[in-house]
Amino acid sequence: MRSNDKKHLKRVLDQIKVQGPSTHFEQRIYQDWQRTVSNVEQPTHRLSEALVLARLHPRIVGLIAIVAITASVLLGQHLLMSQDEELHRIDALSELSLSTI
Amino acid sequence: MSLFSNKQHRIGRALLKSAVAGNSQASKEVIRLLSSPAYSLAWKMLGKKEDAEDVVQEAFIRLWKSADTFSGKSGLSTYFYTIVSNLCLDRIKSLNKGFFEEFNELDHYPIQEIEWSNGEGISPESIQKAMNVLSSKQRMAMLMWTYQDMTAEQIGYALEMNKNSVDQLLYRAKLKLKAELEKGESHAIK
Repeated sequence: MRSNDKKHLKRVLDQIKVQGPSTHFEQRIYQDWQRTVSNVEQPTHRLSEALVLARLHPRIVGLIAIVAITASVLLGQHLLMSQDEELHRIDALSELSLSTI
Repeated sequence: MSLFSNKQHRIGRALLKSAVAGNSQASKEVIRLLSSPAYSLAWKMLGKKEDAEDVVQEAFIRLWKSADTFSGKSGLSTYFYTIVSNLCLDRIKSLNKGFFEEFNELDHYPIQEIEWSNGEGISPESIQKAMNVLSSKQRMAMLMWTYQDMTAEQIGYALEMNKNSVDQLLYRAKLKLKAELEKGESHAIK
């Protein structure tokens, strides 16, 4: 009953023509924000701001974490493989020197 | 539903905090989300572009300044529309001191279902005229209930009234509007 009531009222009230705001209305609000925020004390440490941003964009934070973990795994693997290669080279060189002796 | 709305409230709070911390993207997002519906509400309440713009601009300044006190218990939009509606009521009070009707909480009507006619053939001007016959509080409550989907409790919070009084206020507003629209319809038929 109430939702029908609301729907009907909305249909009626939608017919009222609202005069649009001025062209730079949102721009003026944005300038007010700039003025207000520049008067407000900024946070002393950037960490709190970073935490707020992290809570605001959880997907991006997740993506960054996945990229970081993958990169560190690949780097570790690469370092281990290059160590193995180095050992093989040393072995080969020592064998060569032994054979020359 | 409640979990979803709580999440929405948390997002709104984080967005506002980020905007006040100096994040311009967050501030633009807050302005984009709230300015247009708030302007429409203020215009329908005040009927003048300049007044509606002034009220919404002032409401945003208050929003930035009071961001620390916003707990996130209600949604960001509900919180903002409360600021807008209070500023609209203040403006109406200052412009037409005699016009502002005090609501008599003792005078209760039994709430019944209202049967609306289809409303076709009524001009937008007649609807605007019918809205102007309502008291400021009735108009405000009706607009918040219809457009902002606010409950009687939320409207009561904005207008400093209890839920039962808001129910009565809305019921009377609808009756009055219906009567005015029917008058308009009969004039149109004549």
